[in-house]
Amino acid sequence: MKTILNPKWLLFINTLPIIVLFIVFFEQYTIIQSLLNNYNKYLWKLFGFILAILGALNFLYVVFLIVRKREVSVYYSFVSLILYISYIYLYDYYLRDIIPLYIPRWMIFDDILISVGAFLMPTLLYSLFILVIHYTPETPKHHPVLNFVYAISIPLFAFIFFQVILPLWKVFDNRFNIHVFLIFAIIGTLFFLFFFIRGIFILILSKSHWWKKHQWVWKIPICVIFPIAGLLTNNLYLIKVLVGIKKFHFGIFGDFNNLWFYVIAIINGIVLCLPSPSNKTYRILLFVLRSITFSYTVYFLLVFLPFLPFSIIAILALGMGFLMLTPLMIFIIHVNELFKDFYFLKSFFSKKYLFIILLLSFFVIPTGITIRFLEDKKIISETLEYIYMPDYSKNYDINTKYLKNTLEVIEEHKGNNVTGFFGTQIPYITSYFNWLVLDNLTLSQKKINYIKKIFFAQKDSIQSPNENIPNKNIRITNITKQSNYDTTQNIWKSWINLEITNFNDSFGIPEYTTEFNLPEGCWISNYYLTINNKKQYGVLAEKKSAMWVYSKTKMTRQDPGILYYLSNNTVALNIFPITKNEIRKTGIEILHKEPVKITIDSNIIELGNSNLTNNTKAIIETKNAIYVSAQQKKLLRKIQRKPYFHFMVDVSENQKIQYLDTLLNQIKSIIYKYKAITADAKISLVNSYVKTYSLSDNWQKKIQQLSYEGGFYLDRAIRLALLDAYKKTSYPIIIVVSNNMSNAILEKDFSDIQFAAPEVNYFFHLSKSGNLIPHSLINDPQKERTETVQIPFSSYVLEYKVSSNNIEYLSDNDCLSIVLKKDTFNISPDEISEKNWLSGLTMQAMWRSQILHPEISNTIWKNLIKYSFISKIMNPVTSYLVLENEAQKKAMEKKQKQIIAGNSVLDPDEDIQQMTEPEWWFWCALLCIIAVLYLKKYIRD
Amino acid sequence: MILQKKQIFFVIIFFLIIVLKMFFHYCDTNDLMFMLMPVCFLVKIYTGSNYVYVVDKGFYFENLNMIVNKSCSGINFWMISFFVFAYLIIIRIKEYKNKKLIVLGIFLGTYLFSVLINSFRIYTSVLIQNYFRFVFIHNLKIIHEATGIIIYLFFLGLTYYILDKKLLKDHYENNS
Repeated sequence: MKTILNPKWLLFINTLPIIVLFIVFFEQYTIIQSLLNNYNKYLWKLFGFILAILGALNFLYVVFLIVRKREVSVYYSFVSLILYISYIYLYDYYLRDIIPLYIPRWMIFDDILISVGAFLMPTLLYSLFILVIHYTPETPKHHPVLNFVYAISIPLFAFIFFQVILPLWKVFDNRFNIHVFLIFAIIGTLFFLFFFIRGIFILILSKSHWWKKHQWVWKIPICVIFPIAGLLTNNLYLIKVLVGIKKFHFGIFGDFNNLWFYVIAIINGIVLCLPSPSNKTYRILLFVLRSITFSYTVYFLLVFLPFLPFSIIAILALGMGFLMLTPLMIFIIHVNELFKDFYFLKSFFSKKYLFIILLLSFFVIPTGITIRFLEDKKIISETLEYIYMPDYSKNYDINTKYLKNTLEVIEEHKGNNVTGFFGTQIPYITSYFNWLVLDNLTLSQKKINYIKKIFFAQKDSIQSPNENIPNKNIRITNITKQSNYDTTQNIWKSWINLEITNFNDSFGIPEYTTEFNLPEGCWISNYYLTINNKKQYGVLAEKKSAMWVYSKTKMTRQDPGILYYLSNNTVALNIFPITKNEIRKTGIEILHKEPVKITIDSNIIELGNSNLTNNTKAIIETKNAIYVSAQQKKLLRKIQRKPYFHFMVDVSENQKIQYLDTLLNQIKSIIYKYKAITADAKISLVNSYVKTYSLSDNWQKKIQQLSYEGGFYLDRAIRLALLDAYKKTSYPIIIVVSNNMSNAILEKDFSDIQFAAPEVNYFFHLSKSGNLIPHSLINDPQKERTETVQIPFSSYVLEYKVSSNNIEYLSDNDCLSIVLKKDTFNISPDEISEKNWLSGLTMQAMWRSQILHPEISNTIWKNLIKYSFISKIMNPVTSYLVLENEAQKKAMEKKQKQIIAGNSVLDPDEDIQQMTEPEWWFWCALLCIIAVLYLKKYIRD
Repeated sequence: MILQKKQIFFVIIFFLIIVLKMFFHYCDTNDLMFMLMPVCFLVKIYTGSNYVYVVDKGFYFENLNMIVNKSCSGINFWMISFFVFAYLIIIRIKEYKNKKLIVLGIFLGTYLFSVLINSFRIYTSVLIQNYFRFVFIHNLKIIHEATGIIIYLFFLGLTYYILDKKLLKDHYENNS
């Protein structure tokens, strides 16, 4: 046990935690510093400085001891206990000035409030160990029971003190009482832990005593019964059984409901209780087993370390609080057993060999967890790829059994984001899981439900509310516009200025939300919102992080405004708050080639002047895209592509087999009725996957052979059918064959891929009665349309020849169109410039490219963010956001970095990493070291 | 007499270092192509990521979102290693038949050495920053600098040790 006095331990116990603590607090300070006043900042600097001094002194002391080859002195324990306890106490006392209550909670890192205590606790515990070792000489006169009696008498005395003495003690003011109480509590806890640890030490180190002969008497309760009782108590097992909420996973200090916690606890208890005879083979096996379960013991010590000072309170309050001390007791016993094994085996094996065994065995459980998490990562990445960025040429076969388990694990780890009391997360392991599997992000419940719908045909329990429902009492009361013609680019730069007034009398502070369609070829290049009569311009940010910050700032009732693409060309504008009778002013800058009309809340706004420009007939080309104006489209040749039926048969779990024969007969009757266009007809069998056959194949047999499983993933089937018509001479007429359209999984509308098949605006549901019920592809596809819709047998499109073998078919309407020269292409940052209309066109082409090839969307997503930042033009992956203060911007930047780092290392252009070499001081120091070494050598020689 | 001859070499070494330092002070990224290009070429081989050279900015690795420019050239390391190894070799060698060639050889040898170690440093920084970015999200510079310090010290020390204890010692003993 004397090894514990080796000063190198202090590097791990004190120096390392202080460094990590510094980094965490520095990160926190950079985010909230703009919200702090001078006094707060002074406290931050003061506490930071004191901690730096404490850490530096400790480090110097360690270096001194290592150089002098000395052990850690008992005086160190006294000094460090006094200094660090005072530090924690003062930190806690000034906590409300260090992190004032007005700082929004979402800007503060999880657990930062307890992190000072948690990070400095190892030093305190280590100091206690030293004291115990120093004051427990190896003589048989010490008795463990006596020490436990001393320990127990402290909470007992405290109990009597609080019940009897304190109510009579009203001499000083309340503030003084609190101080006295806290100081006594700290001293009491120290003494309690001292005697407790001392008792355990005497117990395990006693040589000729009764305790050594009857080890099992105390080992079995401590190593087997207490851990299981502790786990059951933590998981509130009895209460859950009585109340009947057994399936809910939560616990007092975290969710330890997983069966493995119990299994390993029992194995750990057994290997610690097993006798240690002098058989070499048996002993090495025992050493390996004990080393394997040591990671489990260390894990629980780390989990309970921050709560150690509260154990005395828990004993007072609940009686079961002593179970909190179990990890500490087991840790001491475990270390002792490992030491004993090590010293025994040292005579048979080399020290190095034993250390390697210890190290490798220690990492068995963490490695097992990591492998399991990596499997989860693989399966979830594959699933997300299949849904959100599929490679249409690839055959996917996702292991649904494993996926189900993985989703359960993700949901378990999501919990309520509480790691402390009554949390549903597993301390440390959840953080590790989130980092390793989800790149510190999260999988929203909406996405989890969507995956479950696709692979397990799970029905929606709760419909997620539409967040963009306009408030009728908040209206636009004034619109001004200003269009300037930019002769260098030959484009219009127009500002739309809106004044929005709240006429609402009801309680609460409402939000203004609206959606409007941005015509093709228009790009948003700036945005402002007035906050406290000051025009604040928006900053471009990655869309997900911008929406996250917007929702957070909304919750704290600050003044954000956001502008982002909802789908295809639909843009959403949200402003919060607009109090009663308040007028908020906002403005959007739009770059456009031709004069356009934009409708916002039924207000038609005309931008630009057709008399001043003469470029509407022009075709504008970039390296990868072509812009065809409405005038130019009038000159193109009208043609008819060949239609064909594409039946999409529901073969999902929810499809009732008894109806299938009827529906198949209906298909046959349609084939019979429209014989002329059934020659090239196709049929897709749709469940979680889409399998497409020609109607001339023996499709009926294939339907009979299929097993009905998974959800009816119609979204994928329609998307594939529409994309199949891109640049082809035929187009599909989609007929959906299902007994119930509510089975259909449709994520959003198909307006983004309408360019692939401009003739197709509707698909038809073949009902059991044989009717064809229309559904719009452009707007709310799930909804049945009541209007009469003709099957588009003879629709016209416009033929645009990019080259002789590359023909794109454009919609026959008065709107302009964008044509891709190539499906996929690379853009260099040099091709993008600020507020440049052509850069907007290039980005739009990139966006369209990833619609055709979702497998490259991850790369394009990152490039689009980068190019949006360069060009200051908003695109579907970015958002214009106005924030009230610098702290919000900092928090958003942090989130943005986290999100962008989600899949790979590529960050926006502004934050390119320089692989900087060490600073000048390093070279100077190195030179000095070399000079000293040479000098020493020179003198020696 | 020998000492005087050695002193001349030390003057040459010192002069070369001063020239290098002056050059580094006044040059820009474009002038450091001879250092940066082989480094980036090696990083490309290690990581499999392509780069483009952006005038005045440096070598941009798009996949790694990383730029290698003047601040990462490794010229400081070249100077230090040249100084250390030149000093070491010159004080150990008695015969001076090919003295100019020796200095030139050390100069070129340390150039190759610094290119190799610098490319390794950049590669290690990329690897490490991927693992620790959740802790150092705002301070990736710390990772790069710390990696640089460890790698430079390690390789300088290791090479010095090998050179001093093995090669030169044998050579010295054989000659004496």
